[in-house]
Amino acid sequence: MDIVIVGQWGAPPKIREEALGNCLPPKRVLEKVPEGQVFIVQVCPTGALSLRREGDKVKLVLIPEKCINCARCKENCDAFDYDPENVGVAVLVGGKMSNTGKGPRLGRVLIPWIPAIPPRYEEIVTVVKRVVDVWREHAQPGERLAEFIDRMGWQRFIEMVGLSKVHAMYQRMPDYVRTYMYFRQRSEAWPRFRDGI
Amino acid sequence: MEYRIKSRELQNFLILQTEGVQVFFLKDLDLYVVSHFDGELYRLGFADLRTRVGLKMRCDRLEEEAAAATELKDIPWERLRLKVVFTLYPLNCFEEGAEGALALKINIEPHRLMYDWVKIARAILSSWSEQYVRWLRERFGPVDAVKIVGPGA
Repeated sequence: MDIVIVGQWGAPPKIREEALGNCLPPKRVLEKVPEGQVFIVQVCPTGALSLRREGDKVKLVLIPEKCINCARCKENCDAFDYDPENVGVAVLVGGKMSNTGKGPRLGRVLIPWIPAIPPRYEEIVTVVKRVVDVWREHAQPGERLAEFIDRMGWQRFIEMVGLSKVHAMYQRMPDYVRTYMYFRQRSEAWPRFRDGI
Repeated sequence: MEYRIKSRELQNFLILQTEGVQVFFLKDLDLYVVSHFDGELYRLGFADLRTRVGLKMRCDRLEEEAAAATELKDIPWERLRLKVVFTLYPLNCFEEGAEGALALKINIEPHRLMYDWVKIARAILSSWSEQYVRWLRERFGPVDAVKIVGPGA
């Protein structure tokens, strides 16, 4: 696939306490078992879920700094709620299945995260359209995006697509600017992505 | 050239990287990251300056001798496997031994770069460091391990 769009959650989930009981062992068992033996703690690949014992109470807490928004907790327990409005995508380019050129290969990440804002998803469309435009304008007849990028060079391709500004913007952005509402509110201070390229 | 950056900036630097070696110092985490990209694979090395291990071993042999390769299941995602190498990056050399920073080496394909590898590497380091130090003790004898913690760390 020349251009791949992979959906990603934008922020760690919120824990719905009232539903959490279904995913944890009974309270009297929970008080005795080590943290590492609790299934929902085990499924987190980065150790972002932890049991906190306060007196006789045992609470499951999520450490946002460790969370990579992978949603494995959500797959195993319905008590984890991701914000459906705070979603984004990663854009990958240059993958292909055919044997032409250097053969099949996987794509390379062009943008690690860009917000998906309905209904028109303009940020994503702008990036994809720009990639297609650059390819259509400069590629040789029959040349796939992967070979085109190889011929141009990765840095040159990024410049042609105009993504240097977007990457520079990412580096200035605090993490919490990723949230949907904040992105909207700060649209004047932080130009939207389609204005950046 | 060494880039002194914040951890959240690393992903973009890696995406922009062309073939070659780049060194990053993540100043908010005291973490050195070395990235060797050959066009098909990122060979990433993370050296955690806050976790140091002393061994009775010559400095120039520390990184190779202390290397432990293993394969982790379900990391970073379910049904995925990740080959990792734990080792020590020499920081201080003494007559009788050496002190090294806990280090992790992983290889990733360019399409996996959309994940936050700093968080994943830190998670691996923190959850496997005890087991690795135990392995070092069994193999090389007494180990002097220090983890620097606190707000100033």
